[in-house]
Amino acid sequence: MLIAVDGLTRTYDLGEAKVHALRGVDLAVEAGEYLAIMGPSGSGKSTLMHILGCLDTPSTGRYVLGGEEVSSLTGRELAKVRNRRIGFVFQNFNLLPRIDLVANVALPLVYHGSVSKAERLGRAAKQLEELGLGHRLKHRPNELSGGERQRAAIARALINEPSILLADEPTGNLDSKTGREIMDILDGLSAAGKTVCLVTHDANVAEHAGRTVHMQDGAIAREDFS
Amino acid sequence: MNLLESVVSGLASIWSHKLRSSLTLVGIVVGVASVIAMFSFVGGIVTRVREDFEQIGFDNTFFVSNMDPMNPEGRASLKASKGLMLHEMDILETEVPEIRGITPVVAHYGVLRGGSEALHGEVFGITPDGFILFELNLGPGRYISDLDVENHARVCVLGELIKNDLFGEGADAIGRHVLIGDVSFEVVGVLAMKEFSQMFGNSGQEQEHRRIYTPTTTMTHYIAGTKRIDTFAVKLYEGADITQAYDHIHETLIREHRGIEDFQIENVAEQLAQAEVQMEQMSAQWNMILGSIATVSLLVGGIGLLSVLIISVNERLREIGIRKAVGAEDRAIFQQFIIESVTISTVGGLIGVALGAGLCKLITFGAQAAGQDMVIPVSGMGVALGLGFAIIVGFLFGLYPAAKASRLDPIEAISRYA
Repeated sequence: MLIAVDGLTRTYDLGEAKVHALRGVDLAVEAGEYLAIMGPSGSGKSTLMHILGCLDTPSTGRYVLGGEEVSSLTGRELAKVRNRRIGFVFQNFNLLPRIDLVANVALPLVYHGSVSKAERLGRAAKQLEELGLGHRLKHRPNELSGGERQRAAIARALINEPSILLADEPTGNLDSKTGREIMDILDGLSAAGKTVCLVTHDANVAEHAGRTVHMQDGAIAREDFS
Repeated sequence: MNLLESVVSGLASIWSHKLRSSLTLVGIVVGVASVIAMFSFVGGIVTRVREDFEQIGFDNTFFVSNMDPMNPEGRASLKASKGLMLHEMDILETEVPEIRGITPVVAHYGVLRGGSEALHGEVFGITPDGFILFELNLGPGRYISDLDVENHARVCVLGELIKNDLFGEGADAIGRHVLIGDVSFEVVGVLAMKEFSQMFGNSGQEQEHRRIYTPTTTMTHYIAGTKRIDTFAVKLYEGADITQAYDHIHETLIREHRGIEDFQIENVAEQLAQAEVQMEQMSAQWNMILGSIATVSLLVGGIGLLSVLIISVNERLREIGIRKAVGAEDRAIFQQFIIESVTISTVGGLIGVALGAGLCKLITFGAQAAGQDMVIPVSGMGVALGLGFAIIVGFLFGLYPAAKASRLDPIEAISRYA
């Protein structure tokens, strides 16, 4: 079991009102699974994704990642988990605008510790080449198309060889043709044995996954297997 | 990320906001430049004055001169004492153990003739010790000798300037004659001027070199007509007890003058020491005034830096969020912003150093253009202090923004941008 989530809740305290984004989620993900989380906006799917990505912490409940309970880790330990065990792909790419693609992709290695600059840039360049961006190494993000930016973001997510790749609406900002290219990459990664988990509200995207979790009002409503 | 990379990234961040960064830098630049200019300027002046004092060279020197008593009884008693007399030189020399050298000085002002020139000038009767005491350097010829003094020899040594006035520049005066009043003196030596104080000018030396020096005895015998002398210049041994020497001289002379205090003893060294203390106090005051100016402008620079960094953190929320999302610990973000802050302030400090050094050069140049050969060397202390303060300011005022950045929640930071 790669991911075991048990009774997860997340409550945002907005002063007067309390918003219950998650109301008790149980979820298990096996290594090598290809999972899609679907649901309308406000269903809590992004919150769940952030908690799975260790970008947010649950209010109550347990989250075990690769045998380690991460729901009780300190901020510093969570940073380490984000850095080494999770690759996160955002809807709007979130590349740093002032540095070139190689530097962007190498960024997680910067915070990894003992990796020399030459090795960082070498590995980043190799990763970009594998994703077909070998000709864009020295370009800045704003010189690239949306599809290219998302491929660079995927390269960054993969650079530390994480045990799981999390993608939050990875095709949400792309046209359908480019979106299909990105899904081809995710399909390929899954086929190669990578655990992939994505959030989408697009049924066509969810179809790529072997298993779809439907969320509603902060809880899992049902699961489909294809 | 290692330190070098962080500094490079800090520099890149400064470069990408040129206007904003340069506005921030102004305060720090001015602060550091004023620290350096202040230390250099005050230090330069103090050094110069001290050098001048040393060049004057009257340490361990007393001047004993005639003084008319102020009160009527004293004036009435003048008949009982004739003032300082030539023979008192030997008495002082034997009775005051602190005395290393003594010269009786008799001054005369009158018409001097030599070559084809005639002019008014000053003549000093002195003894061989006098040349050492007044630090008069010999050019061609010889000094006045003890034998000359003993024999009332009509010989003289000319100051360099008066020699030029009488015989012309470049002319050889040795063996020629000078008329002081009606008495003819043979020139046996000519003095050579030394490099002298720039601050006090050459006035002191100019006077010395417009004089003619003859043996005191010759002066009293041929010209003054009395054995009363004007001044005893007394040099003490190195490390002698000044107060004791003063008391000994005073005692001896009072006895010789039958209890009448018709002389005064001046301690040049003490006067110089007092002047030096005053100088130090003045420079301390200057340091304080300029120091507070520098502190204020560094503080202003620091506050400017603080606001720029806060703006910068707010502008870069997404960047901070992204860095955290890919695994940057709080510490790494904190470090990044602190290094950026210190980098900005250090760059400001370095520009300030350049400006401060330029200011010193400018003052030196200006002084030289005005005919003053004054050099303001850049104070190493000022540079170290200025740069040190700049770095401290960068660190202190970077703490809050860096802490703020490091504590941001990654998701909030990323989403607040969109």
